This record gives sequence, C-alpha cells and structure tokens, in this order.
Amino acid sequence: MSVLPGQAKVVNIGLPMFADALRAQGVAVEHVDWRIPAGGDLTAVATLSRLYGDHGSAVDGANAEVLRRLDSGVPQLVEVSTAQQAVPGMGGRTLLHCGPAIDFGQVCDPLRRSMRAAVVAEGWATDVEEAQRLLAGGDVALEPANHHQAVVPMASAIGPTAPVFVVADREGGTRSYAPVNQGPGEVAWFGRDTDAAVERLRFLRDVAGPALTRVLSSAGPLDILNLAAQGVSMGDDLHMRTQAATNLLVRTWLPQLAELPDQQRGGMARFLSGNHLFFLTLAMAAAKALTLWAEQVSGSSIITTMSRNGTTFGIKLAGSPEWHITAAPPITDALYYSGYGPEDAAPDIGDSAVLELVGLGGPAAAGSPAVAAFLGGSMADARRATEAFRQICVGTSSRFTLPPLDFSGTPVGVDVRRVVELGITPQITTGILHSSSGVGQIGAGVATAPLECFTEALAALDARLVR
Amino acid sequence: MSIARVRLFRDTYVDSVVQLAGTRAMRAVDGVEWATAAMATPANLDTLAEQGFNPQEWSGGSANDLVIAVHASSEEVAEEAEEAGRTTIFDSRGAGSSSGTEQPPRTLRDALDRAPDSNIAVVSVPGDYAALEAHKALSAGLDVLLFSDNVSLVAEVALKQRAERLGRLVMGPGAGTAMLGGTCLGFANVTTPGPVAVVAAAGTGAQEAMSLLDRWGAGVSHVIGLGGRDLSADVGGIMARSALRALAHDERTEVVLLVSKPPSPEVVRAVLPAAGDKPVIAALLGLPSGMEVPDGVTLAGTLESGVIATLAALGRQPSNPAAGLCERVADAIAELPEQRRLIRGLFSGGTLCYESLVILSRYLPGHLGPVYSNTPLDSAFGLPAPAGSHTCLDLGEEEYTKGRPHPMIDPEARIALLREQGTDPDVAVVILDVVLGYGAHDDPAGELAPVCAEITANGGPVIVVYVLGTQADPQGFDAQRRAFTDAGCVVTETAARASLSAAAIVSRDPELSQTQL
Repeated sequence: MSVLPGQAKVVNIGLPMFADALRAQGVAVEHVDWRIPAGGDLTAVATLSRLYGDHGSAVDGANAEVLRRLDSGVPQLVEVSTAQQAVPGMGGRTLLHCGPAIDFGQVCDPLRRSMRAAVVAEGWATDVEEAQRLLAGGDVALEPANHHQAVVPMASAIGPTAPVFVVADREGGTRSYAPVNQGPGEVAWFGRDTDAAVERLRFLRDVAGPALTRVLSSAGPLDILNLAAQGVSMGDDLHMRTQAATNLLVRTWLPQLAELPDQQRGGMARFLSGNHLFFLTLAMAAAKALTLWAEQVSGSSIITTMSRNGTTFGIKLAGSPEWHITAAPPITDALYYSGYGPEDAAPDIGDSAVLELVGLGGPAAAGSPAVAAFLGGSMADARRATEAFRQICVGTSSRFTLPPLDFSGTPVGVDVRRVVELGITPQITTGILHSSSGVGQIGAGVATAPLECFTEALAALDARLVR
Repeated sequence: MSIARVRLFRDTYVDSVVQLAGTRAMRAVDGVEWATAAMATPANLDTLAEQGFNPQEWSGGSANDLVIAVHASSEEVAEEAEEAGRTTIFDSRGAGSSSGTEQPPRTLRDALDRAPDSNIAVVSVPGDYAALEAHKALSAGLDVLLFSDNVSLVAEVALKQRAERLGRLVMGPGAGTAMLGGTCLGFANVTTPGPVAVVAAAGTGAQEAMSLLDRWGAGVSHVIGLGGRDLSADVGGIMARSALRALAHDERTEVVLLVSKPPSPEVVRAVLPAAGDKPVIAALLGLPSGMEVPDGVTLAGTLESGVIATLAALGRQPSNPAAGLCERVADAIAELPEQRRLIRGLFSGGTLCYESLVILSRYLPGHLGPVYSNTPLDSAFGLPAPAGSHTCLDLGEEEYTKGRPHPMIDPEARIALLREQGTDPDVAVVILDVVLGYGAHDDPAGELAPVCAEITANGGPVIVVYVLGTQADPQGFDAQRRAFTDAGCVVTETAARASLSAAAIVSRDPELSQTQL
C-alpha cells in the first residue's frame, strides 16, 4: 500500500514551468534536461517501457550480478603456451580471427593479408600467393577467436603455433586466451603480408613465446588488472595507450628477463623495448576472462561481447549465444598520416573493444592525457568520452580510478537499454588500416558503434523475457 | 510563388510549450502561409514532407534536432519568420534549468544521482514517451504525477497495475493537479493544512474543491489526481482504489472528497470501500443515474454542493455562496437591453465548463433550452451551434490549443473570443473562469480585466467572473477579484454561482442565482 509522502522532493521531467513552480514553493526539485528517447522510434520506446518497467527489477538484478563479476573477477596470467596446445577446439588448419564469423570471400583486405601471413608462417604455404589460393579454396578453417574464449587485436589472424597468453580468472573460474602482441611496424595485425610481417610471426613463435613461457614459469602467475589499475592511474586507458602498464610489467619481469638464455635475451629485450603496446593483449585476455564469467548470467541487458572484423560489427548480451550483427562502422574524427585520407581507410576492426566492456579504453579516457591529446587536445574532450560511457553504463569500477575525476571509478557494464534510449553507442578509439594497399596503419580515429545491432539486441532481450 | 524554408538545429531539444511559442511567432508574420517549429521526429518529418518541404533539407536530422519550416510569400518574409521563430525559441530556452554552471541532469537516473531521496516525479513529456518515463520513475520507487496527455489506455492500465503492485501512485495521465505533503504539483492552489483529502479525476474540479475548502476554512491534507479515465470501466479505478486505501491510513485525513465527471457507477461502487471507515463525499458532476453507494458515502452533483457536504461531514457551517448575489444580478439585469438573450461561457477549466453545462441544463430545466458546447453533455448539442443558442466552450480542449498555449497559461486566445462576444448585440452574459495558483498565468486579471472594463463601458454584455483561488496563491486572490469588480463584472463566490448568475441574468430572474444545488 502507498504511504503518502510527508515532504515532497521532486524530479521534474518535461515542462520547466512545473520546476519553476516547485522552486517558488521552496521545494527541492531536480529538473531533467530531457531528450526524446530512442530517436523517436516508438517500437523501441515500447520495448524500453517493458525492460525498465515490468521486467525492470529482474533485469536490474541480473545486471547487478554481471557488474559484480566484471568488477570483482581476478584474471591472472598463468601460462604462455601455443594456440593449439591451449585454446579449446583449435587444431588442424585453423585460423582464429577477429570479429564475428565470416567467409573468406567477405574478409576485408587487411585481414586477408593477415591471414595470408599466418598461413605462410604456419608453413602451410610457401608464399602469400599460395596462401591466398588455400584460403580462397576453403582449405583453411576460419573461426572467430571469440568462439574459442579468445580475443585478437586489430586485423589479427593466428594459427595453431602462435604463442598465446593463458589467463585464468581466480574468482569466476573462466579461462581466456590472447596472442602475444606483434608490436609496431611491418606486422600482420596491421594488415601487412610482407616477408617482414611473416618473419615477425616466426619470431613470436620461435623466440618470444618460449622466452615468455620461461619468464612466467619462473615469475609465477601475474595479476593482470592489478598492473592495469596502476597503469590507469598513470595515464593509460589500456586500449590506445598501454605505455605505463607495459613498463610496469617489464619492471616486474626484469629479473626473469635477465635470466633468459643468451639466444632469447637480446631479441626479447629489443622486442619489448620497441613495443609500447605489449600489454594490450594481456589486458584484452583479462577482459575476456571477466566477460566469460559475466556472460553466464541470464536475463541481463549488459553487453559482454563487442567485436569487429572489418566487414561486420557484432555484439552479444550476457546470457545469450545470439550475435547481433551490422556492417562495421567507418572510423571518424580521424588523424591520418600524411598522404592518406578517409578514402583510403578500412572500416573498424578487431576484438579489442572487449576492453570498453570492463571499464578500460573509452571509459578510462578521462585519466589519459595521451588520449586527450588525440581526442581534441584538452582534458575536457577526454572527460566527455568517459562521460558518454557513464551515461550508458550501469556502474563504476572499484579498481580502475581516474585521478583527474577525483578518483571516481571508470564506467563499467554497457547497458543496451541505455544505449538505445539515449542513442549513445560505445565509442572506440582505434587505429586505421589501409583498405587495399597493404601499407598497414595510416592513422587513428574514433569508431562509433552502429546503433542498429543494439536496437536488435534490445528487442531480442525483450522477446526472451516475455517468453 | 511560395517560398519554402527549412532550418535544422542539431541537438537542440525544446519542449512543446516553446515549440508552440515559436510556431505562433512565425505564423504571426504577415505573408506566412504555413509554419512550424517542431522536433525532427519521424512523425513530424513526415508532416513536413506532406506539407511539400524537401526531405533533403533535413537529411541526417534526428528526434532531438529542432526543425523550423516556413511557407511564405517571399524570401524576405520567410527570413523574417525564421528570425521571429528563432528569437522566440532561443530567448525562452534555459528557463527552468538549475542555476549555476553545472550541467543539468539529462535523465531521471542522473537526477536521482544528485538527489537520491527524491520521492515524486512530475512527468510532462510528449505522450508517446511519457509511459517510459513513468515506468522508470516507478522502478526507482517514486510516486508519479503524469501530466502528459495522449498516453494510450493500454499503457495507462499497465502503469497503474504496476504502481498498485509496487505500492506507488500514478496520478494521471492527463492529471494536472495534485498536492502531496503540502507541496503543490502542477496546477494547484496554495491551501492551509486541514483534514480533507481531495481525490479527483478532473483537474480544475480538484482546484475548485481545494480552493473552496481553503476559503471556507476547512483546509486540505492532500489532493490526489487520478487522470480523467481512471473511473471508467476500462481502467477500473485502479488509482482511485490505491488513493483511497492510502488515505484510509493517513493520519492527516478525516474526510475524503471524490471529484469526477460522470464515472462508471460500477467502478465507483467497487472502489469506495477502499476508504475504510473514513467518510467519503462523492461529487460526481451531474450525478449519473442508477448511482448507488455504500453507507458512509454522501453524493453530490456539483463541486459547490460537494464541498458544502464535506464541511457538513466535519460539523462545520459554510458561508452562503449566494450571499449578496441577488442584488448584484438584479443591478446587472436592470441595465441590460431586452434583445440580449444569450449566454456565452468562455472557460479555461474543462471541469468548470462541464459543471456549467450540468447546472444550466440539468439544474434549471425549462429555463434556458439547450446549451451547445465543444464538450456537450448530449452529443446532439455539439458545435457548430445554431444561431441564437447558448454556448459554453472549453477553451482548454485540443481544437483551441493547437498551435498556442492553454488559456490558463496565456489568456491571449480567450481575450480575442471575449472581444468578439463583447460586440455581439444578442449576448446577455459572458462567463469567465479565472484560475489562480501555481502553473497559471502570473496576472490573469491584468490581461482580462481591462478588456472586460472596455466591454462594460461600451454597453456590452454582463461579464460574470469566477476567480478560482486562495488567499495564499501567488497572484493575490483579493487583488484579482477586485480588478474584475472594478471592471464592472459580476464576481461570484463559486464557479457554480457564476453559471447560476448567468442563468438568472438571461432569464431576468435574480432569484435563480440563489438556487440550492
């Protein structure tokens, strides 16, 4: 039964005159600067009314559990192995690639080149032309990394012998995988298939992988997000910039690196010294371990998969195996290397957007001067990026805190209801690859996730709950 | 040749009142054939396309972009109109936003982050989106005053059923008046605390009831709006039941006054027991036939008699609402030329218009003949009215408020009609209701009384005015009344007395103003 309020404290949504009248009475009132929800799409508005209304408390309850898992999981690097040894279902002539499932005929040029480089590095073909024939002929199985508890950055395709980080979440019991980052330059993950790119893959397999296996077995399990949290407080967003966390990791492992055998030590030192994004794939694997635990919760409106293959963009909600897929978005607000422009750019690509789902990347922008410099030059631009995530997230991180925002937590748990209601989709800062020439990275920019797949996911959640 | 001009302002949301003001400013420019200021929702953009504007002009436009569109006789006119619309819209922006440099909250959630102990949401967004906001407010544990119109019946029932399960109130849709915990929400009058709770399915009905209760010394504990459909068979009185149940346990409330246009008798019968032991006076305008009520419930057919019955239930004696009226009416009749035989009710309050129709046609049978209206009691007496007939217009209805604000907020449209009636040699009486309180115009007498004075001075019809308000209303009750008295109007003590006075004047029978209701 209702109990009539003693003292009114009002939220006014709509005409300002009602707020003015309340203020004139000395009554506490918050006036909402309201906007039309869901772009005026009345079907989506009706769906939102159910998902905030009748199903609201059930969804909120599921979301609270998802948020708890995303925020409290403790992913640890426990092993450095190879894809074929560690990754479930990985064997034979199989490549794991970024993004949703795709036929080779639809694969974009940078990812095609990356696949060819991997095929050559695996020894299935002697050169990229032969690799192209094998791939086009269907002689190589293509599997989304996300279907194998794995995530790969940018235009990555990895074969069975590629070294992978094995991450285990101490709290949730999930395991996840990500390749050792290939570093900068002429590299397959930037869509290159040159001899140097193939050579880098062989170096990872033959030198970096075994060396890291040795380092880790000596150093013991690594609490990845502990380092990531320190990195955030030192200006990393852990997506575009992983400088601080990478340095912390190198310092942590320095004794074990120094103990490496002569034939590994120099190569590893040069590789790590030149690779300021080394931590990226560790952070991605940790994020994937969290989302794998979170996605076991059903009835939630929180997104636990978000990935792109350069052709399509796909998301999944916790508790559902169903992908919601639309065309990969263009990358806007871009800065191009001299001589390149929007006409040269491939669409958004990679699994790294998993970071945005756990409070890193865009949600952590406000703490990163490097990201601010890129987003427009002022810390206010970076704060806006974080604020946009805050508006669409259900909570904040208790471990990633932003010193410029008075140590408030980064936003965590992208809620598809809020995304559709506000028309604000996750924005992902990312590199731009050439769409056809194979020169690799030609700039960087911001990819805005396409709204359509979120609207579809919202409708699918509604259908599941009504059923 | 007609010029079409469209401008899109990105990410510029303005509410419907501001859109209307902008539209009106543009249409007021000479040479403008058609103009609108609206949000670029899919539906509104369809309308623009139907009006012959080129969709290229708003490519990429979305629901939170403002669009201004004009058809005009020349480029210069179009430009002038656009400028007028822009000035009106952007000058009024920012009203209602909180002071200081902090960004205002963009969502209910943002607002609750800042004020977590909020307990009431007032929702007045366009009807298509109102249920969503109300649902979110219920989920957050708030009671809701839902001012928005055009909320579907299905959505209303779903909201109210959910609110009942959650033990919350959804007052509305279309509820403009409430007073909870001493706070006026929406359009409401400032009352002293007292033992009477008003439960109303009729907005200005609630205001009349709360004002009379205050002026006649009883005071008010709460005013709970229900929305006009609540007591229909379709909604089944869900909100009325919740309200009565809450009031049954409310220590401040001794008596409940239920106010409604004719409800479903079955629904009223079913909900009344929820009031428990507390006496209920049911003021059901025009008293539907076949109305049977349980013991402890008193029926009344008008707002005035409902309030009088409420005072009686409290053991109090009301002042006589007809005191002195006979003489004033007689004076007015004495100066009125014989050929003036018609009543013109120009109402801003829908319930007051309805009560007037009830009084003129049901309480005075045989005196007047049919009264025509845009909201007639009997559909045979709808508009257009035949020449030589009485009319009562509810100027708050959609057909009069399209493209301009409600007459309670802005008297301009009513002034135009008042001037028109003032020059009609057949009109004997114009009835005006003037609503004070929060939400209403700052100084309605300041706008209306000079026009009344002019009409009276020119030997026009008698103007009977009822000022609905209380001593504590921000406009100043006595000053507002005095302005109309000074302008030569007959000013009455209740809305019902205004109608009875009008009937007395056209009948040349002052005694009719004393009719017992």
